[in-house]
Amino acid sequence: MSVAAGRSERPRYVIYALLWLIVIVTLIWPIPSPMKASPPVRSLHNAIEALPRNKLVILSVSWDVGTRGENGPQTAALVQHLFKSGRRFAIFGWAYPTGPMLAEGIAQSLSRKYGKRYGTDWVNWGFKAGGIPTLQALAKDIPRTIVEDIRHTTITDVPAMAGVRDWHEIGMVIDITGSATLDAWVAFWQGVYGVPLGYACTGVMGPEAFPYLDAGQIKGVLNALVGAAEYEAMVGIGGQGQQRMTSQSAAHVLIIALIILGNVLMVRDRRRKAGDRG
Amino acid sequence: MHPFAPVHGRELWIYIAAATAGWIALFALLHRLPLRHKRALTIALTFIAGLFYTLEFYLPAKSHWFPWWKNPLSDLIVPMGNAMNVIFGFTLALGLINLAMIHGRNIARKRPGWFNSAAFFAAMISMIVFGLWQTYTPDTNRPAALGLSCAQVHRVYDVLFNGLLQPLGATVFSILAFYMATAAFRAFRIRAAEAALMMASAFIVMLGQVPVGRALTNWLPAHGFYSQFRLERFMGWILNTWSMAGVRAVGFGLAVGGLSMALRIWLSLERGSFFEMRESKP
Repeated sequence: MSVAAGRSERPRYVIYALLWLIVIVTLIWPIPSPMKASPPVRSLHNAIEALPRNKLVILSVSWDVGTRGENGPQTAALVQHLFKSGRRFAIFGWAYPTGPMLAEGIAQSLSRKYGKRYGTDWVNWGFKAGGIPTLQALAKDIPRTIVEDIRHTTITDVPAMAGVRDWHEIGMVIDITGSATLDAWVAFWQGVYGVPLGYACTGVMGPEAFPYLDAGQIKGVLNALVGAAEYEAMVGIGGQGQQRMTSQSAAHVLIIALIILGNVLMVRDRRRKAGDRG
Repeated sequence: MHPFAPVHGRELWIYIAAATAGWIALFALLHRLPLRHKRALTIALTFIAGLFYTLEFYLPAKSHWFPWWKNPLSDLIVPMGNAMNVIFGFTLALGLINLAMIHGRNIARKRPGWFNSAAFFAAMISMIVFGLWQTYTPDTNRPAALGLSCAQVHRVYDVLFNGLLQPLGATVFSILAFYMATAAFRAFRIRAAEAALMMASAFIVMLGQVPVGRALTNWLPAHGFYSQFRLERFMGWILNTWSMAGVRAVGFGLAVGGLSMALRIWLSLERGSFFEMRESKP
């Protein structure tokens, strides 16, 4: 690399170092900040609270390690709420094969805190390929579509699945995702059978959810990490959502500062060039 | 007995053997067909599959027109879903074969970066072997094979999945944050009124998402007229009013485009298919 090229690359490396530093520092020393639940978060919480106890909740975990930073704390907050309120749930993946394994790790580690047991309080259906036809089949016959759980137990022998045959026994589906999977649940579950839907998504997916929320097709939304933090505050639990808010705050402020700085430098250069011409 | 009921034990192995033999015979037969017959068969199967799902979705669930008063296609949804899984299985194998051919050629010809192809084979083979091995091995201290105990097989898989795959995936995605930060500095320039509007909206949404931004307007009352100017409320107004209108417009456009694309695929009107490419070759 020439000296000139090295100089032009310098601001980029400074920005990289600055971002890395503030994220690391604020992750190690977070500043606790009070969170107040926004209406979409409150609405999802209230919808879960209103569910009949005998119904099963499906946690559709359509995420992998790439979006774990946001979807992980959302899954943890929802699992804790379900454990706390004594509701059975099923972990299910149909978009990312690793999703159910990652969510299982979260459920396993939280189960000790709440004294819950796999098979009785939750079940993991694992990943099912096939996309939308699998969702359609699932609504009509859960035991024949899932067949066995991730531990190779026949699904009808799992206590948490007692009496669960089809969509009638499902209280709610919560789609936790970093991809465009909501449309399929709306079209083939909520639209056809009226099964209530909840949504937890990454920040970039959030705006796409609001038309569905406005139309009443989804009960509530956890949007990005802030959604997880607000949900943790609402349920009254500590979690990674709230711990990471300082880090996210610092990163957002840095990006805003960089945009302003970039524009200030652009204006300065323009004035200098205008002065040279004049 | 239901024709699609699950079977177990010896019966299951007979089913697997029969299905494998049947598929091999079918593939051999399809392979011998002339191109125009292959094309006609593909078009017919695509149309029938599309017709099945369309009719199942649009016909009422219950009607006195149907035998036994219910939609007869609904009972076939589960077996069709399972059949789709089998087809996905074939596509997975096809993808693996394709990747193995491309990367195998890279290694054989020692093309630049051939060591990346070697890394691909090492990663793929180790993940398949240990992934399947640990699935069918109990997590005990009993010996498994190759001098490894069952517990060691599980540990190796843990290292591959939790120690390598997860951090690598997270690293690739987190690099985006660094690109975004430099792009914010280098590319986000206010050169027009629209850009200024976009930047103001971006600032409000970004600050409204985090506690430090919300703290800026915490002094405003929580209720009443002035509460509308709190950053989180302002952010909500942008997302729920202005952004939602745009998202709806894009959504309608996508839906109409998706419908026309689905029709083209269903009716095999889409150009540039495999058969057209083959037929156009001299």
